[in-house]
Parts: sequence; structure tokens; C-alpha cells
Amino acid sequence: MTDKHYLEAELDARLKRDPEIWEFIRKSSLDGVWFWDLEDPENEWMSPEFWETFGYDPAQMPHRADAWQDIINPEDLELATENVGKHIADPSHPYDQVVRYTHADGNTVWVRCRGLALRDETGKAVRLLGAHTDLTPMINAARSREDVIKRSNSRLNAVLNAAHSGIVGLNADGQISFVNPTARHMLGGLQAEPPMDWPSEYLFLDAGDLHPLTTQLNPVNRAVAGKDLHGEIYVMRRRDTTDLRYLRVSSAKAEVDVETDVVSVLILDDVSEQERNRQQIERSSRLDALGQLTGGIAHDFNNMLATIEYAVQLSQDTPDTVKSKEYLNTALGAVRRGADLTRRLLAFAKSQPGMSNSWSVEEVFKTFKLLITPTIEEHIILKFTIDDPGMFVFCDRSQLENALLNLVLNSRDAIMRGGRGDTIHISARNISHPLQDEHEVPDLSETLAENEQSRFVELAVTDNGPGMDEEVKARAADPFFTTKGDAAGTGLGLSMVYGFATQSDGQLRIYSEVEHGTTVRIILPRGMQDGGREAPQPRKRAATGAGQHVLLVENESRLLDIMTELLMALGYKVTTASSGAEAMGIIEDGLEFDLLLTDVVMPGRLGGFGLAKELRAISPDKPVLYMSGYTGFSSAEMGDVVAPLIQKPCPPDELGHAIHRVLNKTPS
Amino acid sequence: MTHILILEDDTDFGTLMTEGLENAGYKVSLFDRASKALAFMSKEKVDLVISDVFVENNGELIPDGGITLIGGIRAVSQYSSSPNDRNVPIIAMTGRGGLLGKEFGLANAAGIGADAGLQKPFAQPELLEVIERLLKR
Repeated sequence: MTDKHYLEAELDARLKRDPEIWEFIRKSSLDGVWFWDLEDPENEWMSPEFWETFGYDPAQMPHRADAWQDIINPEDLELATENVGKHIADPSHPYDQVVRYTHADGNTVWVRCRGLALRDETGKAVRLLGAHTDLTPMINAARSREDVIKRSNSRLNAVLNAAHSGIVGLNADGQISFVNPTARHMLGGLQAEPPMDWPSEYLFLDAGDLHPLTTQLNPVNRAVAGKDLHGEIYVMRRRDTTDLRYLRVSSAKAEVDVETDVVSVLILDDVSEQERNRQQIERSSRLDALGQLTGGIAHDFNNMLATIEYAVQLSQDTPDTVKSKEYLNTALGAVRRGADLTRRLLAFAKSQPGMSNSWSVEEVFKTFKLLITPTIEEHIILKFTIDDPGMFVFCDRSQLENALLNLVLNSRDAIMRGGRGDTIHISARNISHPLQDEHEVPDLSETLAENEQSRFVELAVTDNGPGMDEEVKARAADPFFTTKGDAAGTGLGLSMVYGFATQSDGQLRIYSEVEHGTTVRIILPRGMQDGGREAPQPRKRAATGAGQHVLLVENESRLLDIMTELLMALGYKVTTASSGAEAMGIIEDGLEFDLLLTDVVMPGRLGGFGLAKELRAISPDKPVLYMSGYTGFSSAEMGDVVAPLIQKPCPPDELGHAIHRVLNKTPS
Repeated sequence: MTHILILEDDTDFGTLMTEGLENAGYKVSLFDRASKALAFMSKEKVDLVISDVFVENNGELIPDGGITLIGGIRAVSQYSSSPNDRNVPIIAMTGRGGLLGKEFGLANAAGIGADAGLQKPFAQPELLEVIERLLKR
């Protein structure tokens, strides 16, 4: 046994001599001291702190054991009494427990109560010395912490339970680590407790062929792999049933500061009803289009039948067996072409709206051309052009074909009804960044910086028919709006195309100029050869000018302001005019400028083409750039001054490059 | 020998008609474009023209078909050095019944300047009957 530290020995000695020291210890470190006479157990001395802790006035309280026995919790008294017995019998059994007292104000006071039996020379316990430590503040603090957690848990649960969306937490192994009641319901009243595997009887299917999706394409696996899904539509089916459910699936990586077993959260929305309605609309518009196709198809069939009939007859008439066989082979060829046509037609009629995928635009155009050509009257010229043959578009192909068909048929109808125009131009080009509408102020700081952005493909159907007036243009995409009369169409066409474009994360834009024609543009995300959507790409910096002077002519004041701002940001000096006549006045006043940038269709005597002609009469080499929402103008319509035409709205980088090209006379 | 010019862009069908009419004792020249047929007619005399109304190129309808041919014959040849009369009998044929009326017939044919109309499919006896009727005129 080691010697006592000299300070401890000194404290012991001082304690014996100096009662103040004991007083200090009692008051400052203990919440009550008691000293119990075991030989006469009715007597017990209790320190003033003992009673103060319980809210009583020490002066009023007797030094009797039954005084505290009235306010201690009865169960705890039992435990304490039992422990006293054990400690008296065996000094190595500690007298130490937490007991509850009732405070004078009715609250519970938690006390750690420790005691030591003092024994006489025979070892008999004659006194019990005890001390209290008040634990109530600590316990209350812990409890309120627990309460906060409980409250926030129950708040969270209330939200999760009330959500109409299914919410599923996934752990790193792809197991379900959390599931809310709606998700349980979607998964057939799932009973098991997490963590658990995704119920194997619920399969995600390919929306096209309804075969189970591969591991790579399964949204659960994609979410666990860290992919963020943005409301993608999946088909889910319970194994061995035909009940198809359409789910909109979103997912996000779980971002939590405390480590949990949730790495990704899936949000599931049952959109079966909406999806079925949408498909119904799609189908009726498809049948609508199909009806219009039959006229053309009849032509193709009649041509094939003509070949067959003629060939069979010649084969019957000729005595030459070799010749006869040749005729029959020709007939057979026509039969096969007919079968091919039927197949195409059926494929179009039956094709199911499916999931987005990447498609070669050239390939889509090729098939589409075969389908549409027989339907269009001979005097209407169909032109197909593709900017870049290696172009891929990311969307649902059958809906894209249906959309193009509707647009071309609309153009056809406009030309036939209006008795004006002769060309439908179906074109595709790559675009960097579509503006929301022509009144959106482009973010110039982004334009001039290099950053990443999604790139798009623009598919346009342009006709030089009669065009739409403002009222028709405004209502063009309304469902059930039609200019064709009750008999001709359901009016669903363009609204369906609009729905398709927006659902595909794209846009639809309609530009029309009365007496010039209409351009409808479907803007869709770019795809990649491997079937996926193209990731955002670094943006090309817009070409900037060096203070050259642009004469800008645009009758719409808002657009004039935006364009002015844009041109100045690109480094050009700008003079504006809001009509052809005003611009001509400025030119005649002798303005020195480097480029005329003019809208094509403007009210008043002088449109863009006329203005360019008058300008060139004065200044034969002055560069000209036209801009218009409708881009179907032919060189003939441009008249004397054939110049590049940019489309409104023009993304800043494209505008920059177009001006740069014109000023530097490089071909576009 | 009576010389018949055929404009038909469907090569299979054009060849069949040619062979059928040759078997029936006619001399036949077959073309797949109005421009080629008109060029031929500016030098060679023909007695009758059979023309498809619609001509396609690679699935694309082009303005080089029967309407151009018929227009060319009826309007231009009278002033040219062509050995052909602008009133040469013309039979127009088409499979496109849906567009020009239920059946393509004389009324439709007259509308585009032809003397007779045949709705495809038709059999050779039908064609021979029309040819003989027009040649007798």
C-alpha cells in the first residue's frame, strides 16, 4: 500500500481540527447529507441541503427517518431498503442507487444516494452515513434532447406517411433501408421490415417490349450507382400478372451529415392514369394521321397491283416459259413491296410509346420519307436536309415520327387549303442552347464565359404556305383547336407534338408569317451513338466584334432592346431603327456603319428584303444579315439581295458567329 | 408501225407495258421522266402517249411527271420544230384514286389535258381498247 499523498494526509488532519472544512465540502459538493442511527432507526440527522433539494424549509423538518420516507418513490424505497440490508450484512456490497423523490412543487427529483455503514468494534453497523447528488438537471437535459429527437422524428414520419409519393431509401447494397406507407402499398402491401431486398415479384419493364429491364437499366440499380433520375417514366408489373403500373421515378443521392444506411432516395409516383390518358390521345392522333395516310398508301398499292395484274396476264399470254417465269418474278417483286408497305403501316399504327433512346436522325428521316411521300400531292415538293449525317436525337422514336407526320400533314393542309405555296422542308440541325422564347434576355456573362451546357437538335418543318395570323398562332398548340373544320381533324395534332417536346425535355416553337409560311421547330436533347443522352458539353465562346457599327432594324421594341444589349455585349456599336423607312432615313442621312442586321417581315412600306435592296442601291457592297422567326424564305423571295438569314431568337453565341462570318465574308 | 410513248417511273411496270404493247404489235419508247420524254418528242414523231400522272424519285415526288409532260405537249410543241402535233392522243394513268376522286377517269384526265384516264391497276385488254379507240379518232 502506498503512502498517502502528503496533501491528502494534511487534509485528513485539518478535517479533524477544523469543522469549517467539512462544512465547505458538505455545502459545495453535496446536495444533502444524512446520518442515520441504526440502533434507534427513528432518528436521522439530515443536512439543510437535504431538504432544500426537495423544496422544503430545513427549519420546519424533523430529524426523523419517516420524514423523507413520505416523499420518496415507494418502489425506490423498497430498493433502497433492500440495499441497506445487503450493505449492512456485507460491507463490500455498495449502498449506491438512483432514487426518485417528490419535490414540494410536485415534480420528480432524481437523486443518486450513496451510503456507508459505520460499525462498532464488534463489526456491528451502528450508523449509516449518506450523501445525495441531485441528478435532475442532467436527466431533464437528456430527456429534452430525447423529446426534440422524438418530435422531429414524428414530424418527419407525419410527412413521410402523408406523402402520396412512394419514398424508398436504398443502402449501398441496393437493399431497401427505408420505405414509407405509400411505397409499401405500391409494392403490394409490403410487410417486411427493412433492410430487405427489392421485392422480386415487382419488375421494372422496358416500356417498348415489356421485357424486364437489364440490371444496368433498372432504376433501383441506377440510383444506387449514384445516378440522379429526373422523373423518368418506368413501367412496373407484378410478376405473373398483367397489371401494368406507370411510375415516374426520381432519385437523388442521400446527403446527410451523420452516417446512415441510406445512400440514395427513390421517389415513386404512380402516373398510370395520366400515362394511359396520354397514350389514348397519342393513339387517336396517330389514327387521325393514319386516316390521312391512306390516300397516299392507296396510290402505292394500286401501282403494285398494276404491276402484278399486268405481269400475270402477260405470263398467261406468252408461250415462252422462260419469259413467263420472268413476268411472274416481276409480279412477286411487287407483292413483296406491297407486303413491306403493309408492315410499315402496321408498325406505325401499332407502335407503342416507349422510353427515350438515342436515334440517328438520318435513319428516322429515311423511314419517315417512305411513309409520308405517297400522302403528299405531287405539286408539293418535299425536301429533307440534315446538317450533320452523324446526328443523334434522344427521344421516343415512335412519338417523334408521329410528331413529324402531324407537322407535315398540317403544312400540307395549309398549302392545299390556302392555295398558296409548294414546298415543305423537313430539316435537322444541331443547336447549342435554345432560348426559352424570343423575349428571354440571354445571360451575357454565361455567353462570354466558357462553361458547360446541354446541346440540342432542332427538327423543323417549314412550309411556304399561307402562314398563320396572330390569333391562330396563339391557339395553335391548344388541344382541340383546329382550323380544318369538324370533319378534317381532331385538333390534337399540334398539342400532342407540344406535349411530346416538353416531356422529352425539349421545346416546341411556332413561327409564322402571313403570306410567307410557317416553321414549326421541335427542339430535342442530343443523343449519342451508344444510345444515351449526351452529357453537357463545354460551350464555345461567342465570337466578339471590335467596335464595328451595326445598323439594327426590328419593329418589336422589346426584341430591339434585347438585341441591342446583346450586340453591345458582343463588342459592337449599335444604331437602331424600328422600321424599314426609319432605317432608310438614317442611311440617307449618311450614317457610317459596317453591317445591316434587319428583321424580314415588318409593317410598313419597306420590309427587310426591300430595305436591303434600297441600301445596296446606295452602297453596293454593304454586308447584310437577315433575321426572322420564319426561316423558309427562298432566294427568289429575297429578291435582289440574297444574304444569310439567322433565326429569331438567336442564342448569343450563334449571333456572334453569324455576324463574324458576314463581316469577314467567310461562307456559313 | 404505230409508235407509242410511255412515261412511267415504275421500271417494272413500264417494262411490262412495253413488252405487252410490243407483243400487240406496237412500237414503244419508255421514259421515266417528263423532261426526257419531251426531249425525245422534239425529234421523233409519236402517235400516242401514255403517261403516269405522278413521278417519284427515291420516294420523293418530283415535278417532272405526267402533268409536266402533258402541259409540254399541249402548250409548247405547236411552236417548236417538233414533228409532233399538239393534239397527239394522251392517256393519263394513276394509282392515286383517293386524291383525284374515287376513280381516276375521263373527267380527271380532261382536267389535266389528257384524252382518257385509266385507274391503276388495269389489265392490258382495257388499255388496248382505249388505245384503239383514241387512234381511230
